[in-house]
Amino acid sequence: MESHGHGAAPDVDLDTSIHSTLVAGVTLPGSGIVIGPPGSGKTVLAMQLAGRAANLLHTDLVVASEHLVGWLRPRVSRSVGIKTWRNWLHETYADAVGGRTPQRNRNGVQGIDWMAVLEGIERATPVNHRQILVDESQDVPHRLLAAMRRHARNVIAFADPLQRHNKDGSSLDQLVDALSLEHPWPVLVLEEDFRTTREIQDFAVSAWAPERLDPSRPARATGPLPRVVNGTLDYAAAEAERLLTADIGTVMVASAHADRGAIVGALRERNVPVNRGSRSDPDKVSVLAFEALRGLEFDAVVLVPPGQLLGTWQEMSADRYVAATRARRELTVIMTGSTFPELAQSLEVAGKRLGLSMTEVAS
Amino acid sequence: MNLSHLLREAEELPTDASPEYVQETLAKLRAALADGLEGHRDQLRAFLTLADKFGSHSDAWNAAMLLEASGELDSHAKAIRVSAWLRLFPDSARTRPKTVLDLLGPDGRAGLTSAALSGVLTRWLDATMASAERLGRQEALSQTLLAAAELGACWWPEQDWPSEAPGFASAFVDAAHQVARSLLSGRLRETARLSRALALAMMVREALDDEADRAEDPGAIASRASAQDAPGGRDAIDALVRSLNASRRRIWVVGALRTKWEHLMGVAKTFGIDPSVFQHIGYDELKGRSLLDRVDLVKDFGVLLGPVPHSVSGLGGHASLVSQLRHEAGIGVVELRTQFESQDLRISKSSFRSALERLLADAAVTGTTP
Repeated sequence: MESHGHGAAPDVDLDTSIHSTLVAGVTLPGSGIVIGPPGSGKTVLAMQLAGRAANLLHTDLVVASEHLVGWLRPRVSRSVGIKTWRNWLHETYADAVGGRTPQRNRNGVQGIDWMAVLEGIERATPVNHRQILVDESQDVPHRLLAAMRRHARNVIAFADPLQRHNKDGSSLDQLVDALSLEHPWPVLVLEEDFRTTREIQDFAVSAWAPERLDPSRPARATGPLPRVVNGTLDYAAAEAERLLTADIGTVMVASAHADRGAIVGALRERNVPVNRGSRSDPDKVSVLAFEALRGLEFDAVVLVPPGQLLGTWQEMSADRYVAATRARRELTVIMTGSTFPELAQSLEVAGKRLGLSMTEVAS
Repeated sequence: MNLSHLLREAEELPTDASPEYVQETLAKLRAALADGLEGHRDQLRAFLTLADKFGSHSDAWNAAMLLEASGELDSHAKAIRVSAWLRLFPDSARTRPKTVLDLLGPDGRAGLTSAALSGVLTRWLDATMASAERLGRQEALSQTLLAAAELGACWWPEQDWPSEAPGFASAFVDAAHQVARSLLSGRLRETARLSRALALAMMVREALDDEADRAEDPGAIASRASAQDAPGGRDAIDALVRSLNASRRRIWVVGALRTKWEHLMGVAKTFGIDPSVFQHIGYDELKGRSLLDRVDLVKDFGVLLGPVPHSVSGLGGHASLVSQLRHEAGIGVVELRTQFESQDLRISKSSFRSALERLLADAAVTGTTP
């Protein structure tokens, strides 16, 4: 598989996947939902369907981040509008309602009143001359999806319920309720993981997504076992440096926001080049917060879980699952200092399943 | 290799073929189907059945969606589709089981027999029990028990479960036992709905026992739901079971057992079949001596074939034992469903019950007489 910086989509072997079947033969019953695990090619399918549909009617491809907008723009037909869902709200409000976007002042900070924007769109006369494809829709509020449905001929949502990070996002049932006007369960299922190795897949699901323990189609690629190391943020930087100089390919350190600065500092002290912002130079290490990882992939990932529970364990395990499954070839988990029972237990379960000796101590 | 050839090869694969080989075969089929999908509707239907046989629920589900889009989703495909839905979307299945009725169509049954609907529920409960045991998710099992009760009640009055859907009734009782054990051990918290479901399970169990007792009376046999599949319905099965008990023909049960033989014979009694009809051949026994050497393929009634070793002897050039039995013998062969989730390939009460139902229904359809 060719390596490509912050790839948003794997180079899927279309000839042996369900994708070609779907692209060739599917007319979803009006609106619909495509679900699949990390690396199953949801974004590839969205790109292909968007490209095909754009010849017939105006098509918007709504994605999770500006970073993905930038990555997709040169890869998708110019006639497809690529935007974040906030931009979709902005533009649709201007088209359907007109006037200035509602603002609000909270704690002295002026900002867009997204709820008022959504309510304005909901009240506006619906239009149906466009199609909308929504990537990472598990993190999109279902009320927004329903509004999109009103303002489009059809909406196709791409989601992985087990990657849901945002508590305001949508469960599968909520997605179905928002989009199932023509069919009781308009869902198509991708299953195969084209991105990562069987070892990393096993580790990630054992630790953080046990619902997915028995895929009918496990990842085909194999590679080295993931490593779990007791270390420090400085050790995380050293591990990233090792991976970069080993010429494995692209390297990313995934951490909590709070640890990001320290890791970047440690990398700079070692004179390791670091990507700035959303740049994706393959000769530099990317240091990204967990929330910013959806849709991306790297050859090697250094995962630094925070030592304390932030939010709920369900949210946190979804973030760790996403981070681990960004790795195409190598995964190192660095445990820094103290940990909390849920995290320790999840790593123990994964270690037992893979026969990992828990845990190495960084020297 | 063309699509038809691939399909034939896949259809001959035994249910316990290696998962890697099954996946490779299904991948080839997906690719062949994708190349010219419009011209392959019949093959798509065959692919759906294969995907179901090998536990590839996403393939079965997607194939059903494609068939539906072309207006060719028949009752058989609908039954497979709802089975796949229950397995692919377990959370939704627990919280909104009646989606199954919507998926089956306006009457919520799609013209399916009680046996087929019972099979759908039985497979769901079996898989959830296996998964609960493995992952320790008793909460999911208790919710599934409630959801299955809700769905079952849409198809049959509760008091009729033992007679109309014995497979489901028995699986419901098994699941309730597992839930009750978790309640006793404090792993689950009792709720009013759960208490009611457990009480219902006790009632169903008593009724199943009564059915088993009555089965010794020839007039009361053939109470099983498979009868409704057959031409002549219960009468045909009734006659079949009576002559089976009276004749010297045997039903061979082949493969390792997950449960005690006596328990399987308890299931046989609920069909009105005398335990002396059944003969068991264990998994390891097949390695040494060909099944064809033991079974009287002319006189015996049928084979319920569980998972068998890859090294089974005396296949005489056939790809699998199933293929050999089907091609060389005039005898009914039913493969017992395996439990992919648990990797437990042994014969369970539920898989035995389902296979026996099918053997009798098939025999009634083909007019086989003992």
